[in-house]
Amino acid sequence: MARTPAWESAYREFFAARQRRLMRTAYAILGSWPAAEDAVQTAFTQLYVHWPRIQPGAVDTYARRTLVHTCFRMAKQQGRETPTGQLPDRPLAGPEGGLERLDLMEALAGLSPKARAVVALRFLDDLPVAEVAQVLDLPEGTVKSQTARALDRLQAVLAPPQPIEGARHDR
Amino acid sequence: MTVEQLVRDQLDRATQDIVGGPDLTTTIRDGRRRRRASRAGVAVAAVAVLGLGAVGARAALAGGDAGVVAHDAPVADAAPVAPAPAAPTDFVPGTDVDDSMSAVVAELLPELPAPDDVYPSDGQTAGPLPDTEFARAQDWQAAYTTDAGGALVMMGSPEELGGWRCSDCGAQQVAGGTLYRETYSTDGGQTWWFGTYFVGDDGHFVNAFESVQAPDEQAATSKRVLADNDIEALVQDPRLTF
Repeated sequence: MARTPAWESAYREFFAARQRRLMRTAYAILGSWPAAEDAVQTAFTQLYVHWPRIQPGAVDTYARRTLVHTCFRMAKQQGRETPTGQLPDRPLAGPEGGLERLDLMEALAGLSPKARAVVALRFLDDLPVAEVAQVLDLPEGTVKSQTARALDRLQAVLAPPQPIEGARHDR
Repeated sequence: MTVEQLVRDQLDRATQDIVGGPDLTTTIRDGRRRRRASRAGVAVAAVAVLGLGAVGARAALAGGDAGVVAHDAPVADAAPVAPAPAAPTDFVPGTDVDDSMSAVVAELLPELPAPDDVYPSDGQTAGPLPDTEFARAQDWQAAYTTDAGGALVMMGSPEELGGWRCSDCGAQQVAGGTLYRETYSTDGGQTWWFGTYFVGDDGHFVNAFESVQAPDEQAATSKRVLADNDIEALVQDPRLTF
């Protein structure tokens, strides 16, 4: 029986643990589940190629960097600056949820891919500004200003917030 | 509710119902393939550099102006005209692994010219290890230029972390181990690789790649300069260990 690289089990564990999270991030940037799947697949392949040389503590950042830059490349190649031309792949349960999702994706589509990435990393992945800056190769000040601009634009587009009972989400 | 909270909550909900996802098997298969191609590419790049040296040598011997030599001239075109600059007989001082490896290849694959380079490597470092660090080599590689492209022979120790298996290759049990064969392309289908891999029962392995520049597999196959039988004999040769 031929051998498997000794590090491959760690890679498999990372894949299992992070694939959902990375899919969500990619979807927030690209606005399409199939595109997100392609981006995550590409990023994980890239991660495999370089895995032995990645410091264990830096794997998450490396994976996010690879994924985000893959998304940027895909967005550029596919001219996906305005992904709202497509309906979301699947509505949330219930009419209110579906409408909410439409609003959000429409709002995100009005942003540049980089701004969408800032929003996804800050508010979906809950990364601090410094880490977002590291992932995106941007100064922290730029991340802050892009975040503020993105929030302004999203606030203008999204429906006014309404009190929703039971809308809390454990993360 | 602030706009930040609103965005946070809506993003969370909008991305909960994940559709599809990456396939681990495909990822690992592609990753292994790219790792092999990447490592082989280092050797191919070294071949190209040495090939340019040969072009320069031809210009110098002919009394020509090196400045007018096309530096993208095919290596295969340059090699027969003039020998490369005096190649070192000892690629890696302080060890005879390089010498014995190239001697076995020369004996079993006489179609190949002298190696362009023989060097130590491992599964973690991109490219060759420094010669002075040969003692920690986990594999040794010998790179060759052929009329059709190139060839790379790798022999690895059982301890190499980057040891591999080829789940989607044709496998054949042979005396002392398993033989694998694989054909694939890189560079958007411009370079075809004919891989023959032997993994010994003790874990050591010998890989031989013949690369051919061709637009499709059929054309690449017809341009090969090495015979499968000879390559299979090479990778199973018990002298290719260290």
